[in-house]
This record gives sequence, C-alpha cells and structure tokens, in this order.
Amino acid sequence: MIENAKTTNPELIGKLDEKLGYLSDLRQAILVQDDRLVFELLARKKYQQQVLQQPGKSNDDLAEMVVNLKPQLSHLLANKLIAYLSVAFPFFYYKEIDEGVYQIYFGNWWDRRSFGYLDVLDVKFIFDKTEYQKLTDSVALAKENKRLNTEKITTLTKNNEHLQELVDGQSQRDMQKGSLRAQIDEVTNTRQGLFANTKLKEQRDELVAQLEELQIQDEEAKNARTQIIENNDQILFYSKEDTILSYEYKSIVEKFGDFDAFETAVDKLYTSYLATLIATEEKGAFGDYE
Amino acid sequence: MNNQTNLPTGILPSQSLVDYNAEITQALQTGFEFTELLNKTLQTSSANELLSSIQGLMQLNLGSNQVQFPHQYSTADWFLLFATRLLEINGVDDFSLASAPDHEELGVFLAGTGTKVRYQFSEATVNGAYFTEIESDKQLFYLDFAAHKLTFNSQDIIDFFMVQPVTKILPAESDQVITILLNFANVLAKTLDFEIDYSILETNNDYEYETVSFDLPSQILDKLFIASATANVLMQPVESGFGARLVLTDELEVRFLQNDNYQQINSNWHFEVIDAQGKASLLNVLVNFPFIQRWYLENRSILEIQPAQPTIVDDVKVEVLQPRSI
Repeated sequence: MIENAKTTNPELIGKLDEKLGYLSDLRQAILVQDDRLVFELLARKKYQQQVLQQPGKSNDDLAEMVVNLKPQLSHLLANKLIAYLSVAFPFFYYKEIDEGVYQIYFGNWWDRRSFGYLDVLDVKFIFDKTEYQKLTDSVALAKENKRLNTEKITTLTKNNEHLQELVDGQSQRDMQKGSLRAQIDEVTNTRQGLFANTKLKEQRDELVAQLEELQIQDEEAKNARTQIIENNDQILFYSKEDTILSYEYKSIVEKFGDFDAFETAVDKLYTSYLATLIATEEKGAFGDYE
Repeated sequence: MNNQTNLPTGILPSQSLVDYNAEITQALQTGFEFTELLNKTLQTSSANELLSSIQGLMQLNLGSNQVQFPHQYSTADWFLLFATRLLEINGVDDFSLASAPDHEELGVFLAGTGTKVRYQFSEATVNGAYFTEIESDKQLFYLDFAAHKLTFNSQDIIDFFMVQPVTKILPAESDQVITILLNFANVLAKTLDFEIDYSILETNNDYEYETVSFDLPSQILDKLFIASATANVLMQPVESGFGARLVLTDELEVRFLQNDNYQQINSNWHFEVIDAQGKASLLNVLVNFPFIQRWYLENRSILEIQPAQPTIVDDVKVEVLQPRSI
C-alpha cells in the first residue's frame, strides 16, 4: 500500500517529505543550539540575500508551519541575541513582558524611557516612533547647542517672571488705584468754564482707562500663584525630558562616536549579528555570549 | 523669770551656739567634700570615677546662712567639665576649654570652627543637658545622665552646619567638628556604656535615616535627578524597593527609597549611605555634595530626618518625651 501511494502521488509525498525535512532540520538546529541555522530556516530568502549576498529563494511556505511557535522560538533565540546586544548596544535593556516579547528600555538611569520592542526573529529594533523622533530632534538641536525643550522652558520661565512681577506689584497697584480714584473724583467735581469741559472729559476718560488697566492686572495676579506652580511643574517635566535625552545621546556618542553611526548599526543589525554567529561557529565555539 | 535672781531663763553656756556651730561645720564639711570631689574630677583617669564625682558636684548644696561660697559654677559648667575631662582622659585634644575672666563660667572652642563660635551645655539639670552653640542657640545633642544616653539632634545639626548664614561653616570645618562630637559619643559608649542615638551622624551602612514622609510628590525625585545630572552624577532606580540610588564616588553611594513593604504602616521614605569604609554619614553627604544639600534644604519639610526624641527623666522619675518642634 505504502509503495503504491508513493508512486501514485509522488508530488504530494515529496512536499510532505520537504516539510518533514524542514521540521527535522529545525528541531536538530535547536537541539544543538545552532542559532544561525534557526535564523536561516525561519527566513531563508532574507538570509541568502543579506548574509550570503546571493539571490534568495523563499521558504516562507515551510516557515509558516512554525508561525504559532514564534513566542517560544523568540524566547529561545533572545538568549544569545541579547547577550550580543548588551555589548553592541550597551545602553539598551530588555524586559520580557510576555513570552518572547521584549520591551526595550533606554538606559539604566532614573525614569528611563520605554523605547519600543526587540523583534528577535527578525533581529531588529522596533523603536517607538514618538520617542525616537524626540531623540533625533534633540540630536539635531544639540548641534546648535540647544535642547529639545529649551524654548518651551524659556517661555515658561519668562511667563513666571511676569506673573511674579504681577504678584509683587500688588501693593503698588493698590496705591496707584487709590490715587487714580482721587484724581477722578477731583476731575468729576471740578466745575470749570464751558470750554474746559471737553478737556476735562478727556482727562477723566484717560484716568478711568488707567484704572481699568490696573484692575485687569489685579485679575491676572489673582490666578498667578496657581499658574506659577503649574508652570513650575511643566518646567520640571521638560527639564527631566531634556536630561533623559542628553543621557541617551551621550551613551550613543560614547559607543558609536556619532548618531549616524548608531543609525547605520541599527540598520545593519541583522547581518552583523548573523556574521557574528557564523564567525563563532567557525571558531567552533558556541555560547560565547552566554 | 527666775524668782531668786531675777534673771531671765538662760541657756547653759556649753550648750549655746551648738546649732550655729553645727551649721558652720556642716557647711565646711560640704565645702571639703566639694573640694575632694573637684580634686577627683580634675585628677582621675577613670571615666567612672569622673562621672560619679561630677554627679556628686552637681548634687552638693554648697553654702548655708553662715558660710557663703559666692563664686560657684553652674550645673551646665559641670557638664562641660565632664565632657572635656572625658576627652582629655582619652587623649582627644582638638578642643580648647575657656573660662570667663570675670566670673565662673566655662565654654569650649572646637577645632574646625576655631574661635568663630563657642559651645556650652544649656538647660542643664542633674539629669541632663543640651550641648549648644551659643550664638545660634542650636542644640547639637542631649546628654542624658539619668538614662545613660546621648541623642544627636539632626534638625539643629543641619541648621547649624548648613542653614545659618551668619557663621558660615565650610565643609572641612564641619567635618572636623563632627569628628570631635563623634569621638565624644564613642568614648561615652565605650567607657561608660552610654547608649548613643547617632541620628543623621550614624555611619553604619545598614542604618536607615527615616524621614517624616510616608507619601512623596514624585517631583521630589525628578528634581534630584535633574540636579544630579548637572553635577555629573547618574541617578538610577534602586534594585529592590522603590526609590533612587546615586553613586557619588567609587566608594560612596547614597540611596533614597521606600521599602518593598511600603504598604505597611510607618514605612516612611528613608536614606541609606553606603561607603566602603563605613565612615560616612548622611550629614557627611549633605555637607560635601552641594547639589544634594540644596535639594534637601529646598524640600526640607518633606525630607527632614525624623527628629530624635531624647527621653528625659525628670526629678520624680517619670519618663516624659521632650516636645521637639518638627
């Protein structure tokens, strides 16, 4: 019977053999901890194109079989990868928030930012867009000796100075208001000749306008204290963000020299890592990074 | 009236002036006792003998109606004599005891602050007294004879070394003064078995300097983070519990945190100071790292170390807590 099936359905049997062969290869690669081979088996075309620099042939149909094993595979491959990354990108830290799902943290300092995810199977950083944008913006500004939030902080600080002046000026305003009111009364009560009346009215309007201006300032001063506290909280928030960004930039420069070199290294992560795995394999030494 | 001689009823001459004489004798004996105690105080090399003779001096009531000792030292002076003699016996000499030229009063100058400021004991009773800097009236510690205990007063210590504008004490000067105070406390503990509450001067690495705060606005830590960056110190989260750690030098680290079990009542925020030699206290850190000092003083109502509360035993032997401002 078996012989018959093979001869009657050679194509199907061949495909099944191919699948069995694939799974058997993957199983063996995992058993001997050949991470390089696992990566190759998971995405052969990418491996052949990027690592071997050859025209690649896709094996996606085979790799599809293990799609539901991704969390376990990711967890398995993360071991050596993260050990490698801790040297190559020493400022990134990882937290496995779910099986095989690794969150990236930038730095080991206070309130470090959560910076995205590590795609282990793709050997790729998936940076949080907003956070990454802040970093690139601050890097660009650093060239002008500025920080991301310098302008915001300056504006808030100026606003606070203005508010403080309003608060401090209260007693002076009270005095001015008293004197203005007295003058208005005086002008109102003064009886003058017919021709002087227009002038008097103008004078009075001017005094009333001044008084109103002071009253507007009084209103502003009333809310000034709350506003100053709110502004201070904002300033603190922005200063903290600037401090964190400066630490991030500093760690990148310390490792890579400049930001461009860092971005290049990020882009080339897959090939660099696979090259390292090949090199360790050739030396016959597994687990250098364990 | 004696009818036969018309003389008033008299007293036998041999029995006259007895009380008068007894009173003088008593007073003179007390005087001799006093000089003996003072001799012992000045000459002994035993800490125990020094303590008992000083306490003797404090308890003696010198003088009576008949015999006057017009020039006497106060209880506070006896405390100071005790303290300086104890240091002398133990070979500590970086202080200078001074006597007022025109009356009986002692004061002491300490190396570090030199002649800038003078220290005395104040509010002295036979049971205890505060070691106080006179100008600022800051009470640096309470020496309790009754409870055999010395309690450092962290609040006044911070005020004295860091806040007062008048006496402006430099870090190196502070360190010297603190060394003498600690020497004195150590000698007390070693030779007389006094209990010492070091408070902000504690150097044990495991010690938790507890603050008055249970809740903390998160901005406090952010402020320290920003200040530390300017001072080129990296502030990091602690590994266990919640809070921050700052590595200040290769050998010195300060932590500010709340323990893991912070849900428990009385789990206040506290400082820890860890140094390789176990010689640094929180005060050393505050004195020597201006950015931490500034941050501490700016947020003092929240960060204040729990005030030490010396247990004062009063004359009727009832324990009361000396009320101290928070």
